[in-house]
Amino acid sequence: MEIGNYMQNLGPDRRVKNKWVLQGMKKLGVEILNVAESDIDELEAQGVDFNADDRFISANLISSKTNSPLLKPYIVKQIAWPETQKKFRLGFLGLSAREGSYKTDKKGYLWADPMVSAKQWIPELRKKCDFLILLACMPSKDSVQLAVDNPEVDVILNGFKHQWSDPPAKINQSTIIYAEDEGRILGELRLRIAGKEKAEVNSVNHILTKVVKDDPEMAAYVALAKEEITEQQRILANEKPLITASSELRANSTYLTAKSCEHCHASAYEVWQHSKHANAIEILKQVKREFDSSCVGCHTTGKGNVGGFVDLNQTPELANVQCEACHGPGQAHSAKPTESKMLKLNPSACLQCHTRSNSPEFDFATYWSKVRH
Amino acid sequence: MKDLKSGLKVIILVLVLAALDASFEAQTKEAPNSAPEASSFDISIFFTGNIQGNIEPCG
Repeated sequence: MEIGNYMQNLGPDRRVKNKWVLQGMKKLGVEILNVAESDIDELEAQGVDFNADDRFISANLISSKTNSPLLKPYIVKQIAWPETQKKFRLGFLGLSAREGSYKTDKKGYLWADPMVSAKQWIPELRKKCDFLILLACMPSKDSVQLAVDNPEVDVILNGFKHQWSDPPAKINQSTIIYAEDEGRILGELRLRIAGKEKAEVNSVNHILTKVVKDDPEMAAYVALAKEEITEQQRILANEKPLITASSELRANSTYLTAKSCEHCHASAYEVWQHSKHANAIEILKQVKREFDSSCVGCHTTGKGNVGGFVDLNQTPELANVQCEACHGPGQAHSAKPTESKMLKLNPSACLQCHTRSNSPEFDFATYWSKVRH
Repeated sequence: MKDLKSGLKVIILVLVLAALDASFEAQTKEAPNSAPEASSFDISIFFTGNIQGNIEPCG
């Protein structure tokens, strides 16, 4: 199963990367995929036929024409009870939070409130299954709310961008089990079924370090994938800088670069200059991934925002983690310093990039001491 | 005559007990199939989340 956000939704290399991920999951035998906000456009771009491919579910992705779910809201899988003809029925319902602020209704669909959709579909599914599993692609606090509001749910599998896999939690009748970001940990939900109403729930995290040997067939598949993805990124890197486009991007940009901050914030600028943030792009260059759009976001400034980093050819001045990467674009503050203030941050802001996956040794006190300003 | 009657009673009693025993045996043999919920079995479901297009992590 995949809880959601398996597709990359930004960056020119997303199509080739998504193609290989999607085929890879089919090759691995992934039978249920919850469709989240990052996924739907890319799945359509990959030519997935939702009528022919029955692996995709979502209970709160709504067709704007019919006002009903665009995909199947749930799937029921039957498992034969050993040595009998009886079946044990597992029900899987998909829900996803809408994170972005952009409108999606022009594309023929919209996202309904997952809390409302849960109330709509869980009673129906409960009648059709012996054990109900909710795939919840949303912030962990929302999955806790789902557990509080819906005691009929047996297990909630929760995952979200940049969210760690915390230990399982029991709330009412539901057990919440968390998936690790970027698929770095393979989750295993273990059920000991002792009757229609009795199932003992356990979970195991399989941490996929290099000690875990690759399946030879999948290793060959990944090697092929990396070859094509790297080739696409190399083509992008060798393209001539789009001077006109770059000028337009910069003209409309509210990002000024760290150099602009130096005049008034000399001491902070000096601390930054000697920090790893000031050379963050070099880390990617060392592993030849400086054009990988899913990596550069945490090694540059303003990626994904209007006027922010695009790529090293078009916006090289916004490479590295500069002041505005954390404090936001500085144009307004520069024009009227006393009236327009830069963003003040708390330690949680660091966790956007210093996830356990990317930065396993991250400790705020230790890291902050290196960049204190 | 008395002995014959007593003998018949004993035979009938033995037959009844034998029949009851056979019935009980049949019931116990059928038990695993007629009450499967008494046993248990294990299943595993594997899952991931937020792969975000990455065939492998950034590094």
